[in-house]
Amino acid sequence: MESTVNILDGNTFVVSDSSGDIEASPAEPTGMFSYDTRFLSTWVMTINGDRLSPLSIDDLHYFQTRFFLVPGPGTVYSDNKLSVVRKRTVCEGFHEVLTVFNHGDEAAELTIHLEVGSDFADLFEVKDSLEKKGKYSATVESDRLVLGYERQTYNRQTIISTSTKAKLDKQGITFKFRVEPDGKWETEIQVDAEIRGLAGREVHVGHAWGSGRSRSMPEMVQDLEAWVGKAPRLECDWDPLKRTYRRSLIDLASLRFSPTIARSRALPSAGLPWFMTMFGRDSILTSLQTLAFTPELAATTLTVLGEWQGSRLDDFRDEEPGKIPHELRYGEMTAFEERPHSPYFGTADATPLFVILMDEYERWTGDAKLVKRMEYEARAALNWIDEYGDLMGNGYISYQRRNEDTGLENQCWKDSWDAISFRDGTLPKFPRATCELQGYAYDAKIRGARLAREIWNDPALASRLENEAADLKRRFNEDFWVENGEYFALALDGDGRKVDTLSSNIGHLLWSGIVEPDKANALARHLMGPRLFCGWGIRTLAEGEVRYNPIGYHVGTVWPFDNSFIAWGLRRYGFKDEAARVAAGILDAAEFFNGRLPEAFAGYRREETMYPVQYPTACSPQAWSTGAPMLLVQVMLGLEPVGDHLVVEPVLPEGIGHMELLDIPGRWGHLDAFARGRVSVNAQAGLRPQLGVTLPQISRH
Amino acid sequence: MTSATEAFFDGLANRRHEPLLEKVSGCLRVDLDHGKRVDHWFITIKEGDVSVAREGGEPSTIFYAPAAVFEKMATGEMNAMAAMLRGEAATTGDLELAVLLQRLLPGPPTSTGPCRLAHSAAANPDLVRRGAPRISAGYPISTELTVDSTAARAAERR
Repeated sequence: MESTVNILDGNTFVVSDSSGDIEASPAEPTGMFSYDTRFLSTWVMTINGDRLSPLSIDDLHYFQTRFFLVPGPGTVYSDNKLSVVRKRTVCEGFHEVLTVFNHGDEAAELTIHLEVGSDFADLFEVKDSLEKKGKYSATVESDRLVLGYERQTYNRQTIISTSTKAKLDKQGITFKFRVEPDGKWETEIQVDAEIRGLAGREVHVGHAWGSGRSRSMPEMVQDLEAWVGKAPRLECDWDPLKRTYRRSLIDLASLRFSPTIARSRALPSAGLPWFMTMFGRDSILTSLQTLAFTPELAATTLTVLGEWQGSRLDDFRDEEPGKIPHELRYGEMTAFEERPHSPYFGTADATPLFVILMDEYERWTGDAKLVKRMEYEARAALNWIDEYGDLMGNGYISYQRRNEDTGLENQCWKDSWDAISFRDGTLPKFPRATCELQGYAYDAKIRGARLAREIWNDPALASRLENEAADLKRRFNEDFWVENGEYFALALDGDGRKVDTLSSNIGHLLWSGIVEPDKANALARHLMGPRLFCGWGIRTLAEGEVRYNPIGYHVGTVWPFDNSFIAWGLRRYGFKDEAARVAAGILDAAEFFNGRLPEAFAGYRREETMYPVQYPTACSPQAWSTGAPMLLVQVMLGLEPVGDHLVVEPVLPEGIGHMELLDIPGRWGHLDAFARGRVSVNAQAGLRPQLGVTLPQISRH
Repeated sequence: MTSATEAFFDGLANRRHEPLLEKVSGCLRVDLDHGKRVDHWFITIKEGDVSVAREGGEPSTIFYAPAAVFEKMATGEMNAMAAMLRGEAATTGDLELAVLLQRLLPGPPTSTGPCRLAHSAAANPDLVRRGAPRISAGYPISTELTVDSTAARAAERR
């Protein structure tokens, strides 16, 4: 497959080949996408009939790329007298500056043709290759070409205009011009995506962070610089970590998204390109990972998710009062209710996680105002846990979809069909109560109690929640414990049977604090043992389970986000060295991916492959993978807000001699954290010191 | 016979205070197109205090829909957000108000909700333990959250 180049701004993004061309096919998900719709599926440039080949590609910013091209197939470079630069910027639709240079000593008569087309496919259709039900149109107006798609009242348009005179027809744009020797020719092309509503009204459904027609390129550059500048600075004697950290900050900036009502506020969307939208679980977990760095993301996540919180029963959308939404989509299939994402509520964890984030946010920032303002939403979320989340009436959160057609079967983070299974591979009956959901419910009650006592001034609610939490913890430690394996079952099935597989979910239980102290040792032993820990990180499912597969999406791969929360959990129960080891493994892997951790990588044993094998997925960067290095830095430094203070209790892994994080924002103003390790790195040229394994170039003190 | 549309606006006016609207202040005008005439409903919100009138000043948000389309929304048969994406209804101005207001519309009348699957427990009484009796913690209960109390109707069916 040819390499693809992604550039994006908010939920508008362009995926093209390395020449900047777009030739979408069912197998090639390239194009210009906006609001979950492909507005451009063909965008192919020729010069005097020849396609162009890339000399180099320059990623200027996450929203801007420059392609340096020459005419011809590019296998053997003939003596080229011409070169072309295509500078593309995504900023509500996209903007392309075409520059042609004549390096020869004779004038050149040239024809540039851009073939243009759109299939207006819904993202869901792109993934599943479905047929379209509406009608297409192409209209040539005096100075622009309008591609349209209509299905009943649904109307989408792609509008293409040029800065210099061009011949427009329904298939594309043609420029004829002459370039003098050593001269150049330039034109600008603008492509706009428009959603047309009733009677031609423009519909605003959301926009990229701070975007809008008025948003200019220099503003976007400034914003990115300000974003990176405002975040804490990381200093460290292990250079790859600094690069990973910087990459994460920039990727996080690119993943910011403002859904409909957030005005200029941004929350992290889930991932590029397929998940540039509001996701309950992903936005919350990413906000939790980044509280020590960019706490404003959490504030928006809470506000926006609160405003979309469920208010009624809707079986199609799996909506219930108080439930936090799972996913919001804007495409045609959502519009015609062929998919339930307007928004869809099929998630059993986002609601307790919402309360957890609210409390953790206040602990870091001291923003009690937000917690006061959102008291109603928090109470509704706490109420959901018992009133609706407890499907069986047995005191545990379970899930079973009501939308049996297009709803999600597994409504926990491991949401693929085979993610939850018994040791022998059989799939459990619904409703399913996965273990981490109970941990989240416990934590939400404990944290809700603190908020009730300290901020809402409701001590009665606080003690009620504490009693419920204590009861839940006691029951959980009995009901989910797998005696002969000494770990917690992955789930209880619809009949109350223990789903006895060993999985990474037990690590989330440590993070939640639901584990009784005398059981924590056994869990840490499992997490760091050879069945779960592969050397790079902890696998989603333990080696030896029937459905274990090192390249199975939720049944054997290693998820950086999962590991970051497990490391946090290990820390919570005092396993500091273990937490540092997990951090080291994941950060080592990050270096192989140039600082950008993928959603997941294969669970092969580290000594087998020596490098982490990427799981084949289209989504990168992924928000909670982007947030993982940040949470791991927090865990290694042992950062913990206590009252108005920030406690720093670092434990660094082998291979890091010192680390400092400067200007950590919070209720204390800004503070610096310093850490010294037990070894220093003697980084020699060409020798990559790896964390987590002892290599000769690491010298011990 | 009162239409569901009128019942929706009456219900809104009667509540005076709506916690779901506490985050916002502003005026939303709902324009319902009857073909020959357009009905206006002005909803004024002040940090959750709601008043409804047929006349008013400059709104911060206009929500527009054919009267028949809105009637379906008011009965819960049609989802407002999907209708907007489809182009059957439109919003201009401050979208936050529109998003918050659509949450007050009822869910589909056929929705049953996640009725406790107690039958499953009854079939296997030894396998499913009953939790400690749960007390409603003084949170908003579902019936208070909707104008047209679908939730209450579903509860009756349980």
